[in-house]
Amino acid sequence: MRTVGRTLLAFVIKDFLLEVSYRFATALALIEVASGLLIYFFIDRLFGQEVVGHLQPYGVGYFAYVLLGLALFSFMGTGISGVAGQVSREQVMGTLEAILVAPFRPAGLAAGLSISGTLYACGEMAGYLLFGAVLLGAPVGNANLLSAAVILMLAVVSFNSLGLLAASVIMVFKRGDPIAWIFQGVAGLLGGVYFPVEVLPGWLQALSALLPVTYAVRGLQLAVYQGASLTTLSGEILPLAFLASVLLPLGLLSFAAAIRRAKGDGTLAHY
Amino acid sequence: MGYVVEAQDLTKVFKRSNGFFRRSSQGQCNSLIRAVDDVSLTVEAGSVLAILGPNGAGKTTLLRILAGLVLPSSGDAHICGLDVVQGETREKGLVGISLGDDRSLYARLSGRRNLDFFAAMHGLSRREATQRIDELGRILEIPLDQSVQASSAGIRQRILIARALLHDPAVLLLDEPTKSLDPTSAQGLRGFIRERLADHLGKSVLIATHNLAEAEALGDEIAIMSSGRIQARGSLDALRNIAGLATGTIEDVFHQLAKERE
Repeated sequence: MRTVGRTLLAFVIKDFLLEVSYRFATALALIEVASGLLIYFFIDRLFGQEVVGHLQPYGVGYFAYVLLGLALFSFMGTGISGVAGQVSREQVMGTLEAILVAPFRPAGLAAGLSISGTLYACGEMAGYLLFGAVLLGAPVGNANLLSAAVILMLAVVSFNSLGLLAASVIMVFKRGDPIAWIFQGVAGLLGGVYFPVEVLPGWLQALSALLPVTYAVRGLQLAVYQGASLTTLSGEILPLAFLASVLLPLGLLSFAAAIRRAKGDGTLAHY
Repeated sequence: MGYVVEAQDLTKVFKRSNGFFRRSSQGQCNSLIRAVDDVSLTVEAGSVLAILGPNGAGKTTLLRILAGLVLPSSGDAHICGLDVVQGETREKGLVGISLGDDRSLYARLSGRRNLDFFAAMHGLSRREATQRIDELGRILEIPLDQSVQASSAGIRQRILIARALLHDPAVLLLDEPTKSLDPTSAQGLRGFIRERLADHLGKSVLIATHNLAEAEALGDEIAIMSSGRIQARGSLDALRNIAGLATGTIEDVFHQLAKERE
């Protein structure tokens, strides 16, 4: 256990030091978050902060709704693309083989490769909420933190499992990420990120029920803005837990198979 | 004395694409490359086997197979009796490898940060890692707090060797370890490999090189590899006999054997 902690911490320290060594890029990323939020803040002002029909279950205006939607969308993006991006970076830097000489099981490696992205995504989400709540007045005072934490934990597992599927593709094919392409592309439309899924026609709503992000967005909105309890959120938590329990073994198995395939092809270090 | 490294009939065939629109003379989109061809070898504890051969001979692929980074198409390999292909040797940390690619370090971090990260990967506690890194830094004369990208190629090469030694493996696999070093540094490193690692610490070392003098200086035995096969193996005297030479350097032997192959 101590070794696992030390290994994960080593990944975090290494990734953090590499990230902040590119100070300009780090500053630009922060500015990007702020400017993205401002766009939706002014859209909200344009429409008079009204709680329109489809937003009534959440009891908030459009800006507050989209604030959480965007925060979770970004959270999902980091989860899905983060592991694949990390694999790709380690391949390009030539360090993947050196890591794989170490006594790792695929699950341990997957945890190491995804830990920094997960922490970054959590920090980014906290930044979204802080910026939105403190500076732009999003109403987060009623938040049920336990419910929000459970939703986020299940979301992390689901998104990172999809990330492992994406990383498996990168490990074998080196470029092209159909998992991110499908899920991130579709999630913006169907996942309730920019508007509640109730706005969609029935057949699209049925499709949105297959996406973990749909449950995560709705659950988080209700937990943060309505202070919904775990019991109230069972309609979101149970399907999300089911998707997480299916996706996690699938992601781990595909990642282990991809490493084996790359070793067989002799292409671990290729990019 | 028992063998630390034992490989039996190792073969690795790579499938390589000819390109999206190109076909081979046999009309196939992919061609097969036999990088390692039916190689068997053994190495005793505390001995150095120099694998000598031209570029593309299959030396690096052989080392990668022994490190568990490439799966063989057929054959098997054991280190200290544990199966390499099944990942048993990796789990026990029996192998350290330096692939000689100085790109395989985090260039924006210091040597110490790099080594500390890989020490954690091998399960060393922070205290063990610090002690080990300081010790290796002293022995290999590495300026540990300098960033890797500001370090010379020679220093990076030393960091790679230090990384391979972090977890104190029984077997060390070194691919062209002196390729970026000036003659004095190269000589110092050879002395370190021969005297400290093999003679003093009893490590088994497999060193892939196309440097004839290096193979002669380091190897208890030399395996001459070409086209994926070990063409001849033995001490310099034994290789002279195989080549039919009464006297001569390893260079004479190498060229004589190459001539015979043609």
